[in-house]
Amino acid sequence: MMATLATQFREALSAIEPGDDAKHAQDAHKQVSKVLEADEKLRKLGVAPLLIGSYKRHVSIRRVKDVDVFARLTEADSSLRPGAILDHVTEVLDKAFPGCVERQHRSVKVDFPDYDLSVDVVIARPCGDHWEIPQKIEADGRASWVETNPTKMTELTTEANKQFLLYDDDEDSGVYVPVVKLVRQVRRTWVDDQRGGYYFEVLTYHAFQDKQLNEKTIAAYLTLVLRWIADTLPELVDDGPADPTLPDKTIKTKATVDQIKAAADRFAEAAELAEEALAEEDSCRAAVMWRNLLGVTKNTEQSEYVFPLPDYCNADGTTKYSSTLMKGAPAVPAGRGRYA
Amino acid sequence: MTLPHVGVILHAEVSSSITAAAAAANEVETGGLLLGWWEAGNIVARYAIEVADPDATTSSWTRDEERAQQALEGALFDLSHPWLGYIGDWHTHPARCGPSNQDEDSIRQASRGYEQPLLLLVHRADDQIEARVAHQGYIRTLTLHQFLAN
Repeated sequence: MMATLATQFREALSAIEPGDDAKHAQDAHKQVSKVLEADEKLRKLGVAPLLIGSYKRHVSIRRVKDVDVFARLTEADSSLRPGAILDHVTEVLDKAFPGCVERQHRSVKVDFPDYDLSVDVVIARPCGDHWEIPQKIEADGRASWVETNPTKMTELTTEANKQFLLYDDDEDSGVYVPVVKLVRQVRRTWVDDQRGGYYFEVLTYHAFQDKQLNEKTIAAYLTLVLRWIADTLPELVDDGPADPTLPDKTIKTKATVDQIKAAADRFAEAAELAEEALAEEDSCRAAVMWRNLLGVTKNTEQSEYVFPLPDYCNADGTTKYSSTLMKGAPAVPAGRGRYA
Repeated sequence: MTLPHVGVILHAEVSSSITAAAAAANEVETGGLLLGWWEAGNIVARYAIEVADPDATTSSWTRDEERAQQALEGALFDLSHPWLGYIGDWHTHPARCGPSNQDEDSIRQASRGYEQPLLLLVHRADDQIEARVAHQGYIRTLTLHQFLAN
């Protein structure tokens, strides 16, 4: 029988949960939103900040280093010059968070040193049913705009987590979100490039949809998704995966062709290791392989293994032996035991 | 007769599961089984599982053999751990008091059916957990060691 190590996977998922970062992210988002909403000029443009990104979709993992705020300018029209508005947003935020604000090419970054995270504010104007954000801002403040629909990915994530369940009779056993988190952790462990979490999240989404996965364990889901990514990534080097939120668009990445090829090679190695671990019948040997696959927590004070070894395993994958150990009883006491 | 001292090793997950169950049960008692093993004179409590008692009140919880055995077998299957088995009981007290005479009698009685000692944990209203160990019908002295993490 294959070793599925369900308990250890649950603990691994718990080890990569954002923890305190979640509270900090929420608070930082609220503080920034409040400042933007209080500004008269932005109010006239119908500012409506919205939390987006992996944190909002509940797929972020330890540590959360940045939070994305989508500053929708609901009353803005095509005459809006993003350069000038971003300058204004920078000024407004700098008054509220002196010394912590940095104007970036397409966004404004606010650092929260006490939380060791930052908030990226991206402005957006309406475009039909969805939104546009500046793609490239020229020196005169004009810009080319690119369509985006960040709220759609949140909806798709929720739907996928309802569709793919670990236990058919338990609607709370959604497996899509946990697997996205594990894929993100594998990427952090196996691929040097630290950007591009969303790219691999989208690949995971396509893997679930394309294969219509229906497995009984997290281990099996993770293995099949890694294999799908490893096999598909080389085909996406030029165009990127289809954008699930916008028809006929693809996901772009700043990674070079060589970097994507290198990532594909690493994912092939990771998929092979996962397949070996899944097929392994010895729990301890399998656990060591899963531990190597998922690596250690990143950007934390102390790096800790994400995947815990079972109590009965040594670090080298052998089973612990103790002549003084007696396993717990296979049966409860007979009759009834009343406690009061 | 001098009875030997027993060491109790309590994993963090046991305390957190019991504390969470106590909070969810509110003013009614709840309880369940302790899963673990015995090693070198120690009782190792690794997991705590809840066993529903539909007749639980603000002052009592009863371990029913059929329901408890079913819960034990389900947990052993899910946890898939070769050392795990039944090693004792736990329950909550909505009041700020530790194990009662009735509690000690029940764990003493249960311990008559096992070669190794059984552990009883009682969660009090102030989130303290008190322990008793019984071996073949007698209450034993114990030393509690808490494990913070796996």
